[in-house]
Parts: sequence; C-alpha cells; structure tokens
Amino acid sequence: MTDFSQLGEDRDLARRVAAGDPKAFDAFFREYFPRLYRFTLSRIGSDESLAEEIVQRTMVLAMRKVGKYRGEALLFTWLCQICRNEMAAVFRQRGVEAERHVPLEDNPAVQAALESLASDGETPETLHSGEELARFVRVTLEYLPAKYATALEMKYIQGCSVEEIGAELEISGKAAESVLSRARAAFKEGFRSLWDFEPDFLLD
Amino acid sequence: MSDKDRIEEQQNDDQTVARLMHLAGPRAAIPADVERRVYGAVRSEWELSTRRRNLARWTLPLALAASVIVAVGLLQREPVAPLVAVGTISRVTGPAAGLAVGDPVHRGATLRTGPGQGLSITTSDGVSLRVASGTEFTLKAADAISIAAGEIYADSGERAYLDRHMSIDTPIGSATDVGTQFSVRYSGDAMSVAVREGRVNVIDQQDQPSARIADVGERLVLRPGQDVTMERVSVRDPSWGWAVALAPAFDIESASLLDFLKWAARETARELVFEDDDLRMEAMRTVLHGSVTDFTPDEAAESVLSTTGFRYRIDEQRIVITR
Repeated sequence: MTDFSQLGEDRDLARRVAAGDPKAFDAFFREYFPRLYRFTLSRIGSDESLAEEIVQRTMVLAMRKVGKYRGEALLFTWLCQICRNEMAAVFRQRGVEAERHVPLEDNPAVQAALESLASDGETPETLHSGEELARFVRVTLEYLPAKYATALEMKYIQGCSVEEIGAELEISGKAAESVLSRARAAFKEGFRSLWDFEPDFLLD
Repeated sequence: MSDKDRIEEQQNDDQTVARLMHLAGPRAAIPADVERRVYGAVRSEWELSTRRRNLARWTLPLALAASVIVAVGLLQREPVAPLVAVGTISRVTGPAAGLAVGDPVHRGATLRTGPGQGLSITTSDGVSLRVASGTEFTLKAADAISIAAGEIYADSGERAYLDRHMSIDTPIGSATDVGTQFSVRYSGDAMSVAVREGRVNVIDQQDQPSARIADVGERLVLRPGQDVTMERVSVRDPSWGWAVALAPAFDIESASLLDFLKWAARETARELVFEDDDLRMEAMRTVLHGSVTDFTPDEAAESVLSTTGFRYRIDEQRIVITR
C-alpha cells in the first residue's frame, strides 16, 4: 500500500536537496545512507568495500538525478532501483555473475513460490531456516523509515525506555511512544506486503 | 472492537515484533570511516550537481544575448546547428578575446585561440576542457570535439563510473577517455594522446583502422603511414603546466577545506595526505569563505592553507596536512 503522506514528504525532501539546501542534503544522507548500505550488504554478502563502492555510486547518481524525482514511488524505492542497476553494473565490470547475487526476495520464481505457498495455507517457515527468517526481518527493517527501524531496535534489542528512544530521536517520550506504535504497525504492514504472509503466522 | 480487544491486539503485536526482532538480532553497524568517505563523495557531487542545475536554469535566457558576443569574439564560423548551449566559458587567459567567463558555447561552434590565448570550457556534462593557444576546434556536442589544429586537454572527472566520457577526434584518429585527464594534440602530420589519469581508447583511423589503449603516464603518437609510437610522460611533467593554469576557478565560498584540497591535489597531480582521519574530518568541517578566482591551483592552495589553522607542506608530489 502506498503511503501518500510519505510520498509528499519525499517529494519535498528531494525538491529541497535539488535546490541546494544543505540541511535537506544532510537529512537525506542520514536517512538513506544506512538503509542503502544495509540493503546492499544483504545482497552481496560480507564484502564491505564493495558495498561502500556501490552505495557511493548509487548516492552520487541520485544527486545528479534528484531534480528529476517526481515522487511516483517512495524515495527509498527509487534509490533501491538505482542501487540494483549499480550492483549489476559493478558485477558486469568485475566479470561476476549477477545471478549469484540475486537475493531470495528479488527472484520472481521464489517470490511466486512463496505467494503460492502462502495462499495454499502451508507454512513458509517449514521451508526457511531461522537465519532466512532473520534476514526477512532485516530486509523489512531496511524498507522502514530510519527512525522506525531505530525505535524498534532500541526497544526490542537494546531494551531502551521510550524516554531513551525519544532522546535518540530528539523527540519527547510521548512522541517516541507514538513513533514506536507506528513503527510496529509499519513493520507488520511492511512484512505483509514484502513477503505476502503475516509475521505472527511464521512464529506460531 | 472493545478496549479489551484493542489492548490484547496491541500486546500480540508487541510480542510478535519482539520475537522477530530478537530473531534478527542487531543490525550490522556501519563503520564510521565508510560513512565519512561516502558522505564526502556524495556531498561533493551534490554541490557540483546543484551548481550545474542552477547554471542550466540561467543558460537559456542568456543564450541569445551571449551568442552575439561569441560571434564577434573567437568564433570563426557561425554554428550550423540550432543554438543549443553545450558548455560554458570557465576561464579565459591572454589577450582580450571577446569571450567572458559564464558565456555559453553552442553545439557546432568552431572556436580558435590566437597566440598567447587560452580558453577553458565546462561542458554541460561537467567535463572540463582546456584549449591551448593556436588551437582551432569544433564542439560537436557536449561529449565530442573535433580538432583541426592545436591541443586540447580534457578532464572528465575522477568518478569514472558516472558514464561521462569525452571523444576528441582529428583527421588521423580519435581518442575517447574512460574517466580521466588527458590531452590530444594535432599538428597536421601527427596526433598525440597523453594520459595524466585513467585510460584512453585511441582509434587510429588511417588505412587500416586499429584501436590502442593509452595508460596513465603514456603518450601515444600517431603519424600517417607509420606505426604508433609510445613515449613516457610523467603526470607532473611541465608539459601539463598550460592545462593546469587553465583549470576553472574553484569557488571556495561555503565550500569545505577538504573539497578544495582534493581539487587542488588532483589538478596538480599531487597526493593529498592527512596525518590522521580526525584531521581529515576537521578539514571536511572547515568551511571556506572568499575567492581565489584569479589564482592557479598552486597559488590557490598556498593562499587558502595559509589562512587556516592547519599546518601543511606542499612538495612536488604531495600536499601534507599535519597538526
């Protein structure tokens, strides 16, 4: 489901970046660099220098094209598309077979199989190891706005209080609670739309 | 849905998300030095792209007025193509030439520099072209030039992956870079291609067309009816001096010291060295003000560094920043 308010925010951010607003550029970098880096790393394995090169190429190209971004897709989706093209270009230059780097979720056949399994009521978990499921979770987090992923990680991994989360996000504790609630909902919705099955279904 | 149901659903959501998050574990930390490096590169491109977008916004309204200036200046023939600006004059040296910094250059325009004149053009693709004295050439497009006589230096930027290439042809052959700094000279009986950074594909267009690669530090010389010869030419050879002197001015106002130093180091083919990463970060955070418009890269580096609190040393091969 497309979040139209997010699209509006993305369009506004892109417009300000294109116009040369330094604050907008910093906000853009803070929001998207970590997500793109993890997005890339999850697709190429553990080669951090290659991830750095691909993300740099992606963001450099994005800076050249940002004036043409029209907000037809979320900014992160737009960046991911550039990133995929850059990955393919790097693999071509290095003579690496791109097929070896296609992650599960980018493979249409696997995606179709997953959808089919889900619709037949079978449990996808039976086909996927805990590590696979963990990766699904990480990929879902990459698609969330950075503050949502940070809030979820601080709450559920680091055991932080809402006040601590608020301090990190530079908002009040009450606002942090609201962010957490929206983050949970977005995480579940993201999981559903990315993988086509309910997250709690996997844990039954 | 009752309040009780709502609370129960919220608790279920909380448990589900908690279990999944625990399963995934903490996300991979991003190394700070990686973030710094990428930030520097992306910021630098953003500043360049912003300048280019702003320039494009002004190019069309100025094109008509500027074409009059061009016609009475260095232009020998009227451009045959429609008036499409493919570049902008970024530096002019020597006797008055009727061209000024900021004037557009149109596709199809043929230009000639006289004795003692030098010209620098930044194409709409961001390539820096430097034209030596006594050169006649046609700008066929933003990425293609034809030389009738003389020498042109092209710098298509250090980011080879941006797919920004420049082709320069002569009656003898053509040269297309792969993201680099190089020069092409044509004198009627010979074409030479010298590479200061990166690589250049050179096509010999004579009786039996053939391709060669010119690597950094090499000068290939093509002569009709003879084999291609190769000479070594240092990246800091004095023969590059005229092109360095024509480097477009770096606009230091609000630019970071790091970006400025990277520019100066690259223009002069020196290595930029910081004593440590923290010093590099400090240079990135140091914002410059003022102007070094009329300075060569060497003069600009001395001038800017002497006004900062950084200690430095500039020798033949390196710019070294220390505490």
